[in-house]
Amino acid sequence: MVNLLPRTIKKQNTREYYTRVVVVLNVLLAFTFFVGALSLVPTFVTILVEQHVLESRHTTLTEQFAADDDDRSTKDIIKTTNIELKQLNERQRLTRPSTLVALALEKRNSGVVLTRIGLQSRVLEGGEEVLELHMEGEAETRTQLIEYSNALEEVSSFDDIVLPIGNLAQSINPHFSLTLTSPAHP
Amino acid sequence: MMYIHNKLFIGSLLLAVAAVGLYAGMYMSIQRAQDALLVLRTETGANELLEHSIRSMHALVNDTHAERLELASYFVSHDNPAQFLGDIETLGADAGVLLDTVSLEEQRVIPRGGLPEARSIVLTLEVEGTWANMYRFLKMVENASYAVRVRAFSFDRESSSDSVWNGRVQVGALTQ
Repeated sequence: MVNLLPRTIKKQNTREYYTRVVVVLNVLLAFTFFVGALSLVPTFVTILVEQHVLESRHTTLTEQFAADDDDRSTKDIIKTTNIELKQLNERQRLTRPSTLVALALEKRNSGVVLTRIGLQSRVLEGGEEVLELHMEGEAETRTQLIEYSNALEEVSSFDDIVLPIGNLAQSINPHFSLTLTSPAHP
Repeated sequence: MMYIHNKLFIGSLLLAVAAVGLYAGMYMSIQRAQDALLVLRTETGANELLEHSIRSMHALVNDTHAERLELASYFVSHDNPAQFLGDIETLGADAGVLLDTVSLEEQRVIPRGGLPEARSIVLTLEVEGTWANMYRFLKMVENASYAVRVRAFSFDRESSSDSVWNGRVQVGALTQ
């Protein structure tokens, strides 16, 4: 078929045709995106609702924490209990004077008689606390006194044993004064 | 005719641009809202965990009320040490020694191991009895149901008797 339309009219028709196609495409595009936007509305509303719910929950919790006096008193109770437990534990771990006395007397031989026994605590320069067990008495012989002193040195609980040399002057019935040192916090 | 076509073209183009803009706007709003929601969810989740742990802590504190009362009873009330003094006197009688209170004073305890400063009452007693009873009294005081320690003691055997000892015992007990 031969198109006898003049060239300008032909061009115009072609242009009109493409314009209509583009218009249709534009309308389709607009429709598609409009439907897409509409389909997002429920999601958007759901998110807004959830956001509102979470915001009110968050505000409630924050206000609750700020105004919770009970919480503060609970913390005080826990803190006090913790301190009391540590103090008790500290006391439990202290060396017991009766244990030191028992250890000192256990090693005593029959020839050694005590007339005085005492204990006192002393804080050293470094801040360490020691217990000093002081014993006075009389031994039958010097040898027995030395044996007793040597036996005490074998006891690991005593760090230091002081037997003044003057106590060994007499060979029979020497009076003695022994000082045993032990850490208060082993 | 041409004019109508142009108007249609421009109109449809504007419509398409408006629809794309609406979609993009909606999409970005949702994205922003989701980001905000994520932050809010995280914060609320953390707060809820905190609330749960606080509730557990409250429950624990309530459940341990009796034990805490018992723990507190190990400390001498510095307003009213009569109970403690009575208990020590009872221990003396049980151990078979004669007791006489010399002094009672309050002292500061040197804090150790990161503990806060505490106070204790120091009771000085004069004691008399046999060696076995004196030693028993010492052990009983050490094992008394208080945060107590024997700070010092000194026992002397009486020169007139082989079996009677007398001396002093200094007992320190933590106060509340």
